[in-house]
Amino acid sequence: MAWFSHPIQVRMRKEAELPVKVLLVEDQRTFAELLKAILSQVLSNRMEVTLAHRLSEAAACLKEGQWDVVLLDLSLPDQQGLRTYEEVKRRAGAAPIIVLSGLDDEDVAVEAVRQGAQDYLVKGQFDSRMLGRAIRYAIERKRIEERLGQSEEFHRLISENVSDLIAVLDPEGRRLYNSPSYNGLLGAPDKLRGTTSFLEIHPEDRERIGRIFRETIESGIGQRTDYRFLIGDGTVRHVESQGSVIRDKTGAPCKVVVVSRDITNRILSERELRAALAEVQTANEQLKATQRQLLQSEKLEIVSTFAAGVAHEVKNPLQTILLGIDYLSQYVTTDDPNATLLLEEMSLAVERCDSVIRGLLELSVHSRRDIREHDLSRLIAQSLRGFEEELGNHSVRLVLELAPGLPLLRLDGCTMKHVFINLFGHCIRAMAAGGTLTVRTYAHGAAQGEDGAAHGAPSGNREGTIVVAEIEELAEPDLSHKSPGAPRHGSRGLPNGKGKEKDFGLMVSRKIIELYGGKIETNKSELGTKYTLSFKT
Amino acid sequence: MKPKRILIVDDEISITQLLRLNLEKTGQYVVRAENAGAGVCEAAREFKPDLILLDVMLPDIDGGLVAAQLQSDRRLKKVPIIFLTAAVKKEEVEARQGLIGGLPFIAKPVNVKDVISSIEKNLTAQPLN
Repeated sequence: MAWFSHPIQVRMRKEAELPVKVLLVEDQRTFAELLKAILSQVLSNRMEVTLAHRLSEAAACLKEGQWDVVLLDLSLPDQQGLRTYEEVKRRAGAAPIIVLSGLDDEDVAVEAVRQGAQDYLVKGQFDSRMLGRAIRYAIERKRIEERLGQSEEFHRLISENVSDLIAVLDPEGRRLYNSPSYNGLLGAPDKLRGTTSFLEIHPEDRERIGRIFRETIESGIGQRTDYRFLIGDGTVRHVESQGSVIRDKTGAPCKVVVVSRDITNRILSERELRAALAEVQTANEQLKATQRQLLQSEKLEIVSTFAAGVAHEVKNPLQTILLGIDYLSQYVTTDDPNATLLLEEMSLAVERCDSVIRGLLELSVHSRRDIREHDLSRLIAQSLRGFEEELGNHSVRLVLELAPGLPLLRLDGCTMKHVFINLFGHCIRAMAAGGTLTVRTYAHGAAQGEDGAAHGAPSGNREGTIVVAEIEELAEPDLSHKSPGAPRHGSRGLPNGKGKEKDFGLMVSRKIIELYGGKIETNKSELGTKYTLSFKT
Repeated sequence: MKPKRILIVDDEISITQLLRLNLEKTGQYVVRAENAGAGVCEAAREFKPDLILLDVMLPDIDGGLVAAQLQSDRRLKKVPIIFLTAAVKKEEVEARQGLIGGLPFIAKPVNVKDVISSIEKNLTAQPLN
C-alpha cells in the first residue's frame, strides 16, 4: 500500500503551503462579511475567501477554479432547500461542502449530509472554533474519502480485470462478492450473492473443501488447494484456490477471500501428456521386449543349426548300434547270462540317446519361425489329436477344460504344438499303470479374477492378461512295484537315466516357452506332476 | 517262398552292412547294398529289387533326386521305395502316416523289427503315385 499512498502525502504537503480556497455562498451580505472575518481568524492568512450571493454566482465560481471547501447557505435568491445543495454538489467536483442552515431548515441540512455534504452548521449556533474545525475536518475527510475511493477503485479494477476468480465469502461460506470473471464459470456474479459457495463443488471434493474452509475460519490461516466444480450442464472444471481471511475489529476472521484459477486446461494437458508418456513407455518396453526376443531368437537359431547338425550326425552311429544290438540279441548265442541284460541295457541307452537328439531336433526343425496370433486352447486341442491311441494303450483318462475365447498369443504355433506333444508324451509315459491327464486353460489378469476361466466373448488382447495352461498327470498307484517310492517310469527304462531324459526334454520346452515370453513351473507330487505354463499377452 | 530282393542305399557302410546281416539272417530277404547315389539306378536295373530302402541324405546326390531317377525308369518305377532319414523324428513320421512327398519313410534310428514291418507293408501296398 505504501507506493499507493505516497503521492497523496506529497500532494498534501504541497497544498499545506498554498492558501486554503474557500467559496462562501451566502445571500445575507452582513452575515457573509462576518463569516469572512471569522474565517480569516480561524485559518489566519493561509486562506482565500470568495463570496457568492446567488447560486448563479456560485456556479460561475465553481466553473472557474478548484476549491478546497464550499460553505453553502441553502436559501439563496435563485434557489432554495436541498435543490441548492444538489446544484452546487453537481458543480463542485471533489470540493467538500459544508451546509449552513437556519434553525427551521436543519432537517434539510441533515438530508444534504446524507447525500454527501461533509457537515452542516446551524446559523447562530456555532463559533469561530467550531467553524474552523468543521472546515479542517471537511477538507481532511474529503481527502481521506478520495484516497479511499482511489484505493477502492484500485482494488475494483484489479478484481474486475483479472482472469482469476475472486470471491469474498462470509464465515458460513455464503457469497458476498464474486468477480466478473465468475461469469464464464458459474453465471452472473450478482445472482451468486448470498448463495452458498459449496453447492457447485464436485460432490467428491465437497467434504474436503468444506473442511478446509472451516479450518481457515478457525485458524485464520488460508490454504491453497485444488478441487473441481461440477456445473449444471455436467461439465467439470478444475480450479486451484488460495483462501485468505479478513478479520474484524476484534481480530476474529469475518470473511474469507478466495482467489481461484481455472486450471482445467492445464490438468487436461497434463493428462494428455501423461497418457502420451505412458504410450511412449509402453512402446519402448514393447520394443525392448521385441529386441530381447529377437536376440534370444537369434541365439536359438544358432543353437538350432548346431543342434540339427549334431542330431543328424549322431543318428547314423545310433542306427548302427541299434542294428548291431538287434543282430546280437537275435542270432548270437552265448552261455553268458549277462549278455541278454547287457544288450537290453544297450538298447535302452540307444533309446535314451535318441530321445535327447529328438529334443535337439525340436529346436532345429522349426528354426524358421512363423509367428502369428494363436489361441492356446486350440493349439492344445490340435496337439492332443495324435494321442488317442496312446491314451487308450496306457489306460489314461483325459480331462479337458479348455477355455474358449482366450486372449491370443503371438508365437510360432508349430513349435508350441511340439512343446505340448512332448509334454503330453512325457505325462502319458509317466503313468505306467494308467491315470488321469488333466489339461486346463484359462486367463487371468486385471479384468478377471484369479479363479477364472476366461469369461465372456473372445476379445482383443487385454494388456497384462496372463494366459495359463495347466497339464497335470496323476498316476494310478502302480501295484507292480512293491515300494511306493519306486520310480514310476520303471516299466520302460532304467531308473537312473529316465530322469535326465525328462529334464532334457523339459529344458528344451522351457527354452521355447521363454522365447515367447512365457514360463513353465513344475510341481511334483508322489503320484504325479503338474506343469503350469503361463504367457503374458 | 522266394526271398524278396531288397536294395539298400546308405552312405554309412556300417548301416548297410548291419541291415543286410539282419535281413538276410531271417531267410526272407536277399540284400544288395549301395553306398552312393550315383550307382543306384544301374544297380537297381541289374539287381531288380522288390523294394528299395533309400537314405535321404546321400553325400553325392540327394536321395529325393535318386528316387525321382528310379521312378522315371520304366522298369523300376513300380518298385516301392522307402526313405531312410536321420533328419526327421519318429513323431513326425507318425503324424504324416509315414509318408513324405507321397513316399513312405522310416526315421533313424530304427530297429530291425520296424524295418521289416515297413518293408512288408510296402511290398504288399500298391505304388502310391
